[in-house]
Amino acid sequence: MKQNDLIMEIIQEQSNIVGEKIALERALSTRVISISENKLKIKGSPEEAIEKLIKAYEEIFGKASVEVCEDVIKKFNTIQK
Amino acid sequence: MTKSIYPSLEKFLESKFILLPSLTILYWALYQSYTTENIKETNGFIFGILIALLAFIASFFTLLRSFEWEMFKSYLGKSLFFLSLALFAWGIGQTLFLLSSLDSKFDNMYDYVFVLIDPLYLIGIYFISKSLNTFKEMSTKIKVFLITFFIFAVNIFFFSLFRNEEIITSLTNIDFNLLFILGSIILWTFVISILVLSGKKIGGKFKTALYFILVGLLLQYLGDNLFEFSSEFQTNGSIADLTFFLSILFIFNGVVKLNPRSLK
Repeated sequence: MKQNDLIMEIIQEQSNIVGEKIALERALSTRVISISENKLKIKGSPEEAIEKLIKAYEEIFGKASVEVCEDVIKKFNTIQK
Repeated sequence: MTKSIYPSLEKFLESKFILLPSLTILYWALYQSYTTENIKETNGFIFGILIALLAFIASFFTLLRSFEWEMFKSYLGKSLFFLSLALFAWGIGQTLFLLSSLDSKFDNMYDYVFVLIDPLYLIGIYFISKSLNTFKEMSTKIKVFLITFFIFAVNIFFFSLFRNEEIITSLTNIDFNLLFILGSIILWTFVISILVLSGKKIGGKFKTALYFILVGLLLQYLGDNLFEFSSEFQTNGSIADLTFFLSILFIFNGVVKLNPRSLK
């Protein structure tokens, strides 16, 4: 469940940068993440989904986009502790 | 409308972009080589019209791009909106500049519009830096502020050496010269900071697009300085105008390349 929140946080942060529509399209392009009725569903392991999600965002601005995701993960982990 | 124009425009700029700056430079060099003042003046005026036209077209397409990136709902959309406003100010300012050479009642009106260009570009580039997470650390923000202040002081010093009287007037009674210098320095420092801090991190599908925009903004800085450097460059079709034309062309091409559909 926590991993789902993290994925949503990453999508939210990317929405701030590229807009909600494109951020969601990128997430769905991973084919392991789906959203129905505002609920996030993951196929396979959450770690794999996060990895694929970051890869999908990397296509936008490269490492700069990856760092945005990594910052969200760091922040998320700090809050969880 | 966007569906019918965009793909062909994108395709054209993708494959033939190099032709546009090359032809512009060639045309500029050709009419500069004429010794007759009349021919130079007429072509300089035509070149001025081309700048205004290009700025209006670029502004329109940049606004459409901003819509595609959800305008005020995303940093990229906001960035494109302000770049579009800057380009629009370019078009209006340039039109007033052309009119001022025909009718004295338009004298200096263009300054009030031209002075908006750098701040609008700056807001645009600020949102690009937010997209790239360039200034996430507070220490980086302070460093960039100090560097800007330092470069501004150095520029003022050198300008005061070259144009002693004018700069003294500027410092006591803030005029457009000082505002232009300040605007272009902040813009230049900001662009350089992004290139230094995020240059290596910029990648992905929009790497070239961002580089075109950043180089276009650096050309704007170069044009600003050429324009301020000598009154000879403040005429229609001068080398400053050529630099401005190339600046707008680079930004325009960058915006066209920033196509969200290319992600699909």
